[in-house]
Amino acid sequence: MNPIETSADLSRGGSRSFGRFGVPVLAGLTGLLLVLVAFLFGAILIEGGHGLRPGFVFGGTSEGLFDPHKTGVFPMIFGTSALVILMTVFVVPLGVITGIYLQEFASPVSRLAGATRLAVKHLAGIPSIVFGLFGLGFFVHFLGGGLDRIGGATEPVWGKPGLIWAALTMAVLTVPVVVVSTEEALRSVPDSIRDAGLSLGATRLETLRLAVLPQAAPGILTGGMLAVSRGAGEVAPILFVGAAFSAPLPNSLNDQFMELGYHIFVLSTQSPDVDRTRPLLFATACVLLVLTFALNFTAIWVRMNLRARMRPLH
Amino acid sequence: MNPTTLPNPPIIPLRLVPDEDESMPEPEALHAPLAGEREVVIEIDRVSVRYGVTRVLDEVSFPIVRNGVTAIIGPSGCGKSTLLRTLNRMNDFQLRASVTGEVRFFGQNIYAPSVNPIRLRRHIGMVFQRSNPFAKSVFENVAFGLRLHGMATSPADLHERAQRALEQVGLWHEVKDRLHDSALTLSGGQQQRLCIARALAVDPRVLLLDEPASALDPVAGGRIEELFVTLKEKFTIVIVTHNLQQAGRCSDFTAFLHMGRLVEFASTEQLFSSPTCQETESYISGRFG
Amino acid sequence: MEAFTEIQSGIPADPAVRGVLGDLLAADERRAEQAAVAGMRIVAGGVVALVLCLFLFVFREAWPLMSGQVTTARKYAPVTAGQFEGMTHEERAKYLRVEPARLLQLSPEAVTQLAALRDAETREASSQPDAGVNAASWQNLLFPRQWNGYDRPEYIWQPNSKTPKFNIMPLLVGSLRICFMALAVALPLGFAAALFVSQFASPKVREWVKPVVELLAGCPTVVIGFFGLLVVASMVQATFGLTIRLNAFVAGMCVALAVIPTVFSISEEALSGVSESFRDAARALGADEWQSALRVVVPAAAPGLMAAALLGIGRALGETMIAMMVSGNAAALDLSLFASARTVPATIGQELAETVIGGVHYRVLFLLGAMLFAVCFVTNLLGSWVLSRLRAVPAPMADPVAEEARLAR
Repeated sequence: MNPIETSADLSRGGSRSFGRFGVPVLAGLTGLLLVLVAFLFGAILIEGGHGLRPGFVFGGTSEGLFDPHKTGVFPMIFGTSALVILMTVFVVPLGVITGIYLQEFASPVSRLAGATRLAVKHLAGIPSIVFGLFGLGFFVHFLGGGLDRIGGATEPVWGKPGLIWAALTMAVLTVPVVVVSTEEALRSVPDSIRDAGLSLGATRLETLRLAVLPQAAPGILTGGMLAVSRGAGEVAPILFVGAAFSAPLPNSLNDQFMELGYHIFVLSTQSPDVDRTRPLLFATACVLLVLTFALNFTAIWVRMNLRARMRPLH
Repeated sequence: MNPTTLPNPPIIPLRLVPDEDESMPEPEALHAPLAGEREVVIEIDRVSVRYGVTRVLDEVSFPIVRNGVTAIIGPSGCGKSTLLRTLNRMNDFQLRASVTGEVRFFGQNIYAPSVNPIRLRRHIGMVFQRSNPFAKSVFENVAFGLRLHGMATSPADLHERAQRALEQVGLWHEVKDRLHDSALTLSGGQQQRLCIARALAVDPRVLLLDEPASALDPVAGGRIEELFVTLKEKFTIVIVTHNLQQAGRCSDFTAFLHMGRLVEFASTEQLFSSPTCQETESYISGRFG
Repeated sequence: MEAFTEIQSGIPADPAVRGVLGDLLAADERRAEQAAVAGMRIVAGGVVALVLCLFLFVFREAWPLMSGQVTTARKYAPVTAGQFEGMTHEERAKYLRVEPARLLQLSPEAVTQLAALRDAETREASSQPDAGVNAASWQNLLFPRQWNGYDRPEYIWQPNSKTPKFNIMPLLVGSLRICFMALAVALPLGFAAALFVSQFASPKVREWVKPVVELLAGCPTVVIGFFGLLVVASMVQATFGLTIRLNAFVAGMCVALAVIPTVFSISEEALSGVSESFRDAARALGADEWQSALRVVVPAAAPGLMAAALLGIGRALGETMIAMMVSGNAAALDLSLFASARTVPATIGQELAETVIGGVHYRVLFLLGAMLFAVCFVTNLLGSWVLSRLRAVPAPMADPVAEEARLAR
């Protein structure tokens, strides 16, 4: 058949002419998306950036919280950091070991592996508020209350919202992030590396420890950082499990604490005079945003750079 | 038949292969070592491998001669690589592979339950088709096995052994100033030689190479072939290749496999010049492959 | 072959070879590995246990409500002095609503006063109109009711009034409204961007767009909510001349911002994953980029796109902070675009702190949590099912041996 006729056939239905609009429309919508994102970040960074004095970032007590000139975000940064560090201590070993098991040692027909994968997948899809419910019901009341009963306390000591329960709740929330990152990182190490290690007389564990894990480390690190970023940003899980609007710096595991995200939430919804506190609001939001950005940027950078260095030339 | 006792210490449980032979030696037992006979390091005895229901290797038997280069040739899919992997039990990791028959390494069947396959792989090393250096420095690659098995008595000893290994593959002069650069910055041919050095560093008895030059350009490939000549003085080499010229050039013995069966095993010279089987002749003259 | 057996029983003389053979028969290191793997399995099992625990605890608190054991119906039943004497310590504490430990510390006069107070409370509560109605029955949770003082049946969520009302329909409808509006924005934008980036954009553009969307994904939802509250709401109010500043529309737009990254990344992966050979075939037939994208790539990636939409729905329904900050929080059943709305997660977030543990309100909130859990579970399952069932059939294998070997690996 005449090739010209064939292509004319294809363009019947007018999609060829429509195509002239199609791509620009797509490009336009993509551009719109980028503009929206730029607007979101720009508005906060620019207006919030005005309020970022060193005194703001590093100072502050839990008094005078609505006064833009007196307050600072240090307690919140401290609280968020404490929360996130504690969370990391729980979630990283759990997530990395699970990821290693799933990727390196589980047989394809293992029922435990299948159940674990399913569990991780569903965990990832659960709304964050449900974690808050779980944190309250399980950690605070069941475990905390249980501890109190065993310890014979009359007043709730562990059975009330506190740093440790908030950290555990966040850890449960971020398990999927760490597991999936670990699995991906291990997958990115080609099997030939494992073959090399095994053929030199190493056990599977030794190959993993000495050859595979070092190469997968950037990816695992990225996973950890993404988890930390989530932990610093999610507020719903800690609404009733430990965060407080005004609290002294936590110095024991069952203290309540101030937290950046929670603080922004309360400030925004309960500020007596929104216009007056507007600069404060923006500055606080800016701090949180910058923090999350820094974590995400670093994670992406680590993943790109270190992995590129490990890719063989051929 | 009783082993003949000799005035000298008896030679260990090896089957002896006459140097100039008439095609396939019978799987007979022992006879007194005649002048010019050579020892067998690995005896492949009726090895069959199945993946699930598919039979990949069918009762393959031939010897690997000490300090010689044995080439395994055959068209693709005939089971060459599988056979190679049975020699160091690398197919233990294939869940559905089942191996029958025996592979005797210095008389010890390596598939016996009492054998530790991990230790085995130290004594029978392997180099793969595509070079697979670790994402570490050149030095760390070579030192990997040494550290793993605690073979060095001191850092100086470690360095010396690593250097020796690199010298054996002719890489030392090229990398001695770049020992701590990433191994991935080397060229393809250099990386492959590095992998050979890495395998040699742990002092294996036998080195298995699976198409080591096929992923390299002819010049780099040629350098690898040259290596075999020097290496076989110290090691026993088994190489799988689909490159007939390469087999003809650098091997002492050749085994021709087709569809999982051993068709013929003989000294290279004999197999290539006057093969016994029609199939061998057809393959060598390029009528199929 | 007997000769071989004989030979093997001999002792090798070459010490080097003897050493090799000795090494071969050395003890197995695999024991330690097995122990390590067993430890890993315990950890993995722990993750599974965690999820089961989550399910269990949320449903456990909601179960009494779900099985109809909880009632808000109040009937006045006076407790005489004699009856009070006859109660056990725990029952008395429960009636007086104090902790048993605290009860021990109270003087007899204080106990009498407290009992009188509770009596008066109960009498008052049960004299309320509608006091005999069980607001927590399934009937009243889901269907409209004409409460005292209203002239027709209504869906009312009013947990903090004298006669608490727990109809959840306003909340469900609120969630659906915001979800719908969010997806109306997120799906087109997300799909369009994914299609553009995977099929038409130059690599340089791709390098920029993907990280930007990833940054959006990493943005905390409380910040998006803040942005909505302070910036978007004012803009929308100014543009449309609305009286109600915080409403479902604003919430929908902001939730869309949170959902777009999910839709984008899954669709983009699906579209990029379509084999080049499809596109090559289309091009070889004379199709241009647009046609091959629309007619060939998109249909091939359809399962992934559907999964993206499903997961976007799940995400939108579960979004808490934005809804809490921006949706207006009026729990009234109202279908209009610019009216206030209250979503299920926002309700839980707002009200749980004020409830009495074990009380009806508490249990209703847990019921809502359980429903959220179930819905997201189902969307997740649906998404996986779609991906597995509708995926294209893989190409027939050329070499059965290699395929067996590959499967075995």
